[in-house]
Amino acid sequence: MQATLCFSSMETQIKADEHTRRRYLEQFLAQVERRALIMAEIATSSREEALDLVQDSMLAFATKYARKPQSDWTPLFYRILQNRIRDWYRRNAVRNRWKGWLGFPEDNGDPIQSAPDPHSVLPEDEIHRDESGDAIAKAVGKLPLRQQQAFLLRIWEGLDVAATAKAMGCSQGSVKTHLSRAMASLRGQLQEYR
Amino acid sequence: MQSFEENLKKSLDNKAASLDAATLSRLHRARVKALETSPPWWKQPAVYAPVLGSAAAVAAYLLLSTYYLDSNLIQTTVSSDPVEAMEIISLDVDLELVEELDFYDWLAQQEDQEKDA
Repeated sequence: MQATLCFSSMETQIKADEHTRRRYLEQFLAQVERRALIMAEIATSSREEALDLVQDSMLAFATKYARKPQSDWTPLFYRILQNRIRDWYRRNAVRNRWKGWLGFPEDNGDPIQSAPDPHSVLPEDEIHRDESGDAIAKAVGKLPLRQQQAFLLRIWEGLDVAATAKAMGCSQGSVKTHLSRAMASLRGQLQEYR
Repeated sequence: MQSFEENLKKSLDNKAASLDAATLSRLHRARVKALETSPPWWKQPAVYAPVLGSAAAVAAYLLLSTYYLDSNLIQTTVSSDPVEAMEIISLDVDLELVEELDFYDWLAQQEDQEKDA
């Protein structure tokens, strides 16, 4: 009788722990998803591609890495995302090379997909705010990928140098170098924000 | 006055905050899908990996130590004194005598003591 009660109590505890773990995981994903999307969009210049990359990263993180300590979640998630972005760059580079060799015209994407969303019309002040965000996103998008990553993870996401290095898969010295170059380039491009 | 970095951060934050409803809905669906596919902790291989690894190490140790002990035992039985071993093999005596050699040795000693007495 006591053993049954003990087993039942353990089962309840395990279910409660699992419920808590899922709640933390959902909170974490909800917290990083918007920034992850913007990062992927800056890197790929495509909302659709960015959504796919973020979804893939979330799936990979939730399936394989959610058991890791919560303090490691942020750099780990961004590491997965940056790997996905890098893979996308490689695939895109190969595809473009083949298209160049075979003489296909450059793919400008689906015009319906790239048409502006009529429901996203915002008041005038918000339009101005969006424009400034777009200008910065464009300037960041012009940076080499590693500089983009260093800037977005270190400055925007606010990771420390060690966590940024973990997320980028490089040394802390490389993070500092990439970030320094990124900031110099952005200061040159975005004079009005200084 | 805000720093250059603060301005950039703020603008990017605004951009992230002003995502349209369709995009937010797709992000939400992606999140739900990720949570659905996340296995509970007791089904994740990472939970069992240390236990299975330790068990495998212990099993390998036991297997190797047993094999090592056995081979040592065989070696000591057979090759501790090869001349004696060859004598035993070549002797045309009853196998029971060889197997109970200690007993017969003790028996002989007893007989000798009785004679001396």
